[in-house]
Amino acid sequence: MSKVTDDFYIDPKYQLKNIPPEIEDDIPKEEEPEPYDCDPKSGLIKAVNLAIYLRRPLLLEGEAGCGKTRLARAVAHKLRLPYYRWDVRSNSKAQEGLYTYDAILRLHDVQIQKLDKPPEEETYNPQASQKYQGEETTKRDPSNPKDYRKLGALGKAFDFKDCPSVVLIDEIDKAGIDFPNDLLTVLDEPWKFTIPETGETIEANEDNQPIVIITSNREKGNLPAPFLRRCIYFYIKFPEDRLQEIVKSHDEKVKKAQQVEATSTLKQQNEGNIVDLAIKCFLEIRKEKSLVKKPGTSEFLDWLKALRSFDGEILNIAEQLTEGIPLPHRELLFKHSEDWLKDWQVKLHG
Amino acid sequence: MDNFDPRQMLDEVFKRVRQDFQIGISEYLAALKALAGGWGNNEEDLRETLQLLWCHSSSQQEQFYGLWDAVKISLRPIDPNDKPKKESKSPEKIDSDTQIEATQTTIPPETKPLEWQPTYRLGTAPTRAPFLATETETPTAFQTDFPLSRRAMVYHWQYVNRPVKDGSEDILDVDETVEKAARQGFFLSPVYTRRETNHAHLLLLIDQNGSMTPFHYLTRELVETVNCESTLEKLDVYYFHNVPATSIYRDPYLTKSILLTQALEMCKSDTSVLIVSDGGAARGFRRFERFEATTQVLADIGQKTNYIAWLNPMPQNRWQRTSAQLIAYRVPMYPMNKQGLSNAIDTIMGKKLSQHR
Repeated sequence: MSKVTDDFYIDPKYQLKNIPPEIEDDIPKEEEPEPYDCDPKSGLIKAVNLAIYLRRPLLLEGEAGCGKTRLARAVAHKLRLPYYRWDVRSNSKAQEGLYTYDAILRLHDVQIQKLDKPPEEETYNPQASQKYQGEETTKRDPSNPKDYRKLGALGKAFDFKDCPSVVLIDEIDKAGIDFPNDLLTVLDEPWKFTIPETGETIEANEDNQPIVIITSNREKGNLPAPFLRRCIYFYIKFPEDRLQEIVKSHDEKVKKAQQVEATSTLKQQNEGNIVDLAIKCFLEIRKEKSLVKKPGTSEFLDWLKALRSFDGEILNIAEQLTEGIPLPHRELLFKHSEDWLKDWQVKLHG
Repeated sequence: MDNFDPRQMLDEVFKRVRQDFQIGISEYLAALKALAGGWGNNEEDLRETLQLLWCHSSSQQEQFYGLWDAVKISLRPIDPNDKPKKESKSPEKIDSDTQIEATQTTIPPETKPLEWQPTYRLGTAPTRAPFLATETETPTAFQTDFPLSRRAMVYHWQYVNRPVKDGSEDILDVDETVEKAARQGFFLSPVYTRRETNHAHLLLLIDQNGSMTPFHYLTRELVETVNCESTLEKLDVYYFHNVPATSIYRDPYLTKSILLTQALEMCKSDTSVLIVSDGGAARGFRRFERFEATTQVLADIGQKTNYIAWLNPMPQNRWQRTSAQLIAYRVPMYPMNKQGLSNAIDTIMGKKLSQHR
């Protein structure tokens, strides 16, 4: 079963042959690389592929900064599918992911139309009234309620019929207690919802059932059991022994963006040295038991970037990292005063 | 494993995890679909797939390893017993099995006394250390093991709610606005209605220390959730030890005292009072003076409000023959589980419950 464990996989019949212009912006650009290094042994790829195969939502948990949020975009990039992101906030309602309806704007438009209309024109005449409408209102027609509903991330995924979309529901645990349960009714058979304001029914058929990826931090206790039951659950662990590969894949992105090769081999050698040392040093820091919050992969990447290029003052990074006093750019790694104030002396062996 | 039967394995595992992991038929069907799609061709593959599908926390995933091994063992010994009846070649297999077994035990067969034979047969059962769920579980996984989860608390606090429409007047009433515009023939202004606000006042009295020490985690969680996740207009939390006597305390360390009468002065006739205490059930005491003192306090509270309930963290069968049983005659007492908390909240919100006298 190499096809399900090597890389993200979807049955080619679901993939787009040619991309329609209206969703061009929704698909992550091919020329913009999406660095996401995924340990084939960790089982994450299998989890993603199983979620795609069964079209069940994939629930990701794990330490902060371990790439939960990045995964969805990487999947969309790899499979060339449209990607919609929905950031959940504390006051989010499940309906917002489907659609929002602006009744006030419609009322407003009706009023504006009445005011602008010359008094002798009593009957509604679309052609005539259009003349008087301002630039903005020309696109909207108050007699058509569809102009006032806007589809949300899930709504768009349901609406686009040509292929499945990847929908990221980020930090689902932030919202109210019933939010996940409200979502359940949509993320299951028969995969449809109605918009009472317009009388529309938006339905996803066999070919475009969305691939839903959900992240959670369990900030406010557990998610409801019926919701969990539906999900495929995966816990992303901190990629201890994959940092080297992660740095490499991110470097490739930078290189591609800048279109420049490393200027000299000497510098390159030095670079590699820094990466090695930084990784060693970082893993050593993470071993420290008394840390309030362990820094994650994203912190590491930021830190490495700062080490490499932020200021030229650190002449001998290697020495400074091994000496460890003071740890350079620790403001990127430690976000709690207790961690920050600690006297960091990282001892590297060898 | 040549005789690996994924379907049998799947069925057996499903039977075992169904209740604990709260999964249903649709999850079973999904697993079958995955199996048909080639997601469980070998043992390792199937285990991973089922783990992804059926486990919903890292502690459940840990638990699954043990279960998987247990199922594997339970399915294995059937094979040698069943096969001799059906197939002819299986005796050879048993033979080879016993030979392997013999080499493993490293006792030369010729030195073995004959009467040892039956005990030797008993030794062929596969041995494996029993799975201990507690060994691998992380401490954070324990919180969900309690009958009352944080989520359940948050959920039930929502029902401590006395909505009154007296908030800011800023909710657009679309229907009314449209109707008004139609009636007048022109649109003047939108119609707004007032926001509903929660006017519930909850007095939470919590027994602290002594026999309640094991439940501190729970009471802390209870206070935390009602503090942060509820929409109460007014919340008073007081602590006491054994009996809410003349003075109660404002902090869980029982240092800042306040007179009970003073605390009760704040109560209105629709104030809800919830007492959390084991009522002597944890240690099995039945002391008349404690009961008497509690009755007195309950009478004092009863002067102010009738919406009062008692949550007992001990299970109901432990109340018998303790002061808790006596107190339960005076005040609606509920065990501290989901159903109990729900009933208690119904009681303090003035909803009649049939089961209580």
